[in-house]
Amino acid sequence: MNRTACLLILFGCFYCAHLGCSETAAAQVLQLSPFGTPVGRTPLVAARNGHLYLLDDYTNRLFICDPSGHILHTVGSIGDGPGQFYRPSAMVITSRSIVVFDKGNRRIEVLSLDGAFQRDFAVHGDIFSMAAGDDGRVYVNDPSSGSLITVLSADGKIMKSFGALSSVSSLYRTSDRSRDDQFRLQANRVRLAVDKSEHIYATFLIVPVIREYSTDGSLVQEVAISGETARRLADTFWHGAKEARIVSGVIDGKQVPFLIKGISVDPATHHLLVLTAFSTVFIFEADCRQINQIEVRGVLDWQLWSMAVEGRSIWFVRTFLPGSFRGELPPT
Amino acid sequence: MPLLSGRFYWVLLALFVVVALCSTSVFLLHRPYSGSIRKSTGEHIARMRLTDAVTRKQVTIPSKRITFISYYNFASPQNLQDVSYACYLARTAHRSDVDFIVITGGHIPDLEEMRRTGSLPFPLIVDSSFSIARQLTVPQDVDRSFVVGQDGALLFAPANEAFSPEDIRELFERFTTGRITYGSGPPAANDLVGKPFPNIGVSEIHTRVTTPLFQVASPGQSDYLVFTASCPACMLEGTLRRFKADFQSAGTIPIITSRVPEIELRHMVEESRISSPIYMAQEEVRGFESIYFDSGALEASVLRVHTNRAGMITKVEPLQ
Repeated sequence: MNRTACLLILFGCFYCAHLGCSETAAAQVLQLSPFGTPVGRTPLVAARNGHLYLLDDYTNRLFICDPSGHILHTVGSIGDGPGQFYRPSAMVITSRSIVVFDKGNRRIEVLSLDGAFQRDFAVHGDIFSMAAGDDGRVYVNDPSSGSLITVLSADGKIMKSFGALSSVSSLYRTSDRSRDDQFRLQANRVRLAVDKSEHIYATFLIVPVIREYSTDGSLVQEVAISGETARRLADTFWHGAKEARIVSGVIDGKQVPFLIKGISVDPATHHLLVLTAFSTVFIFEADCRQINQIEVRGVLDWQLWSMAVEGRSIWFVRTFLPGSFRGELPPT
Repeated sequence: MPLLSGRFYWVLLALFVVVALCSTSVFLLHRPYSGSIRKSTGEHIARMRLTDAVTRKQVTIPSKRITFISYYNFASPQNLQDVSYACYLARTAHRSDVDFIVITGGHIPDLEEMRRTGSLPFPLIVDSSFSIARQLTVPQDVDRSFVVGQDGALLFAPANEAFSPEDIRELFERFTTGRITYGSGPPAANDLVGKPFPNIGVSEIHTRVTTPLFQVASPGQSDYLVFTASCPACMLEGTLRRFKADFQSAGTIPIITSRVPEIELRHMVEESRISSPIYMAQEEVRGFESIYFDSGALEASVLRVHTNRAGMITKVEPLQ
């Protein structure tokens, strides 16, 4: 190799490092026009077919908006009747319906895409998160049942459970088992998403790891999120948040940092997006190959809570503070 | 002798049985509720006659009015804030057809003092034997709230949540006026500039004297620290420390949101050894907070507000 080629390679390495090829492509994030109504303490956002769905857990209302945030329709109020909510804590939009985990009333409600009540069914156990498929099946995370994921039929009957429970040491692939007992349940709290082929993705709340399950419940793969931010997330779990502000909460009686905040499947590109602490979004192909990492900047901060994506548009809501935000994902 | 000994042993055995029965019944009568069944909306509760822990007056559930029951196993500062908010509702928007009752499993001196000083204008019940918890099906590890109709029917009874202030407001409206009015939310910081600072009623925390704000702060000659944190219980202590260090000598007027329980504010002021006046809002600090939404108007917990001679707001800066 001649001297010029060596210099070119060296220059290329410096240039790449300078642009952050190895780590982060920054996305500009724009604030949505005001909705006119504060949205919850821990609100939820989802998108489908050019509509944005915002569930306000504080005033128990669902706002159906256009992509710029103008409210088209408002659904619900406090209560336990049809179409009412009390402290809803999860929402999924399928091709045919809006599925809401109405936590305070211990039920799952199914609404049409325009918000009309269709049915509800009671749920038991200690459900943390939920996903739903286009076939009407609902997937819930309740590790106290002995499995990571429980599958409910469209009318709420338990069809099956799958997903082996794990431990902190196993997920972090370390021999340090000092926290296994302490975080026995918390280590198995996952956020869920379902893709078009009905594969189920689970991201662990306190471990930057994704599991992919096939429709029959068999484990396809377990992938650790990679990169410097993933290392910071792990460091935060093991050594605490030093300077960074991390949203934490009591899960199963213990204060835990919310390292992984959300997971979404883009209905347009079928990419898998994972929102983590440190205002970062990781993007994966459907086969869990990590293809991008986006640092969210601008008006947003550590309080980012829930995320929705459709095409290149991405929306966020924050915890504790009202306001919703939209940005454009960079091309991958 | 053997016969006497036999009698002696029989007596001992009888005593043992009596003691065992008594202790079992005491245990059963004082055990927390541990069942899985929870009374839910539409079910009825049995008539209960309860005694206010402070006034010793009797209250009956159900009453002739709709009753909001908040059952806290062990009230926290956040619960105090919620109770205080319910108190605000009762004071400012009280309707003759609504009652509030707070039941606490633990013995809470602060709550009793609030009741004694009149800042809880509704009965405070201490349920140390868990008998009310068993009747209302409130387990020891969760708090519950109920809306009870005049006939004892539960109009709304979530399984495992205590009402937040906004819940109370919405349910209050739903069961009295039949319609919930949602707030428009707090304004943005820039919206406040150019508007008059509100002349709200304030109570000075040391003297307990209540006056309109402009009797203690002339418009145009004051700047204010407005405390409207979304979690007053978490942020208040640091704010008072900051006030003492940086603003006390400058004549800045501190105004604390009415969502803070007065007793808690007083304790903190005493602990901070602040001798200058601290004013507690007696109503919503209009434009700066939304009491209905239980939140401060802006993203900062404390705002420094400058006014001009005409009393108009000229600058609003968040206190970091």
